[in-house]
Amino acid sequence: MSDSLLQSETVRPEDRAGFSSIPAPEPGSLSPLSQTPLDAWGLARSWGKRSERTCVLENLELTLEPGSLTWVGGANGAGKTTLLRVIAGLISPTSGHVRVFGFHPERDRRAYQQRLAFLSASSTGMYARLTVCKQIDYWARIAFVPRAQRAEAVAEALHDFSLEDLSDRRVDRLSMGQRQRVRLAMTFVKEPDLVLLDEPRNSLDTEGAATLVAAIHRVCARGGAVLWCSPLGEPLGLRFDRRLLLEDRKLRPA
Amino acid sequence: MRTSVSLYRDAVLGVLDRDWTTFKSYRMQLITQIASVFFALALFHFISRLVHVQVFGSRNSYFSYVVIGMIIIEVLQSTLMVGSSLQGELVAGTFERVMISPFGPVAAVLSSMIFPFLSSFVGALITLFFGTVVFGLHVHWSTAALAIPIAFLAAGSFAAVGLIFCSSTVLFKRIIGGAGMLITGIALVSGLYFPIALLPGWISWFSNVQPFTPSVDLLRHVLVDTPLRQSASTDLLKLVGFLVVLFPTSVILLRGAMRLGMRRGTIIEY
Repeated sequence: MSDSLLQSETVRPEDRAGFSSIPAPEPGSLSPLSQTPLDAWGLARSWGKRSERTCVLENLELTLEPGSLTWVGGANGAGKTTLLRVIAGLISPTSGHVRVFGFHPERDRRAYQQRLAFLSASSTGMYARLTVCKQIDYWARIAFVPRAQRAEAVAEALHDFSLEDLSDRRVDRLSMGQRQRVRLAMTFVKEPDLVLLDEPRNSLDTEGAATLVAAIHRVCARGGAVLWCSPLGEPLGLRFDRRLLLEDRKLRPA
Repeated sequence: MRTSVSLYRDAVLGVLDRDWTTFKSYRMQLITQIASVFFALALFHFISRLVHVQVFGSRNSYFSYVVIGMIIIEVLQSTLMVGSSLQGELVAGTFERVMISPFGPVAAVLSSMIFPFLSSFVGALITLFFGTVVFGLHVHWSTAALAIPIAFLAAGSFAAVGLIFCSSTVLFKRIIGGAGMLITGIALVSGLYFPIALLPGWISWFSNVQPFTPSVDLLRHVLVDTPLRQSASTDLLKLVGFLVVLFPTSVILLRGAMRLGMRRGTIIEY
């Protein structure tokens, strides 16, 4: 892994290679402004009131290259989930910048979110009374999968995560492992180019884990990137292009 | 542009389908709602038997008066329900997914107001049906159709209140007591159950600075032929004014609340 990918000093956006020459996107334009799936620099996030601030991320830098699979590990509370939430655009960084294929999380919100998918570390995020098929179809609509491709995308997601037999079953009647597969199907149904996974192996059996690995490989094969976060010590059974450790608010090679 | 419209339309239809599917998955929900309308009508029917005041020519005229107030309350509750639905989504973790969708949280919140609105309109029709068939309510059929555009205008203004309520939910998370306070307060100053002329002067001014009074006055006029306090055009103008001012303001407030929640990092807390 290149050391430059883990530099800790802040680089101004205009100094980043390629950024100054990139024209502002047309409103509603979804063409990538950069081929880099993820570029984050000078990233910091702290919590609490001014007098008792806790800094979780500090001056952090991370670049994901096309086709790469990266693991970020760390102890509980190290800030892995915070890092993913900041990259996903769920919470704003206290300082620093994030770009997904050159898109800004707020200025180019739609283009940014169309390319990105985030699986949080829980068993939630589903409507209990919807069937598996309706659930995935709903998230495909919200993710702006065009109508002409939606039925096929949903059918593929059901197939990819071995959910075909469960497609008419309500989510609140599924086991935890089955729910996790539904959550994965919801994450991958829009064919994202940057996938953020927070402890994705939760509750998955061997077959479920294999479907996840296959989905990750498909993303990487089409030039996307995957960022996998999990605690230290969790067996991964997957070959990563890079392994990083989030420790003392910064990333370093694991 | 056309593609964008169809993507947003599909997403909005997805939200409607989600809410309809969820609603019908609870088999007793519709039955209990219809029963609650019936019992509320029965309650006010018997209360109206006690009314002997000059303001109302007959007992039936008080009953007609209050039935329209009940309909307004139902529409108002449907808008405020969005705040509690949002809280439910925060707990269920579904709002987190909406936040990181291209559709976006503001569009999702606006879309999730549609089903409760439609449901409250159906509730209004059921109220009028029972009121007429069982309790002898006299609906002024010749002008009743005018209630539809008035109801849409009113719903738009009420939606603004719902959105402000959502903004508060985003920032303060649990404000269930606030909804009850708001509904009771609005019922008090808008003349939903009694004429606002009965209110003391120091509070009656408030009846003129919110969209509920003109809505209920106009609906009463076209549905049960209650005389208006001021001209229909004045009430209509007020209603349009409230809609034009309040709705964009409430959307801006909701966007602001979302941004603040993201900056604080509390947006997905519950």
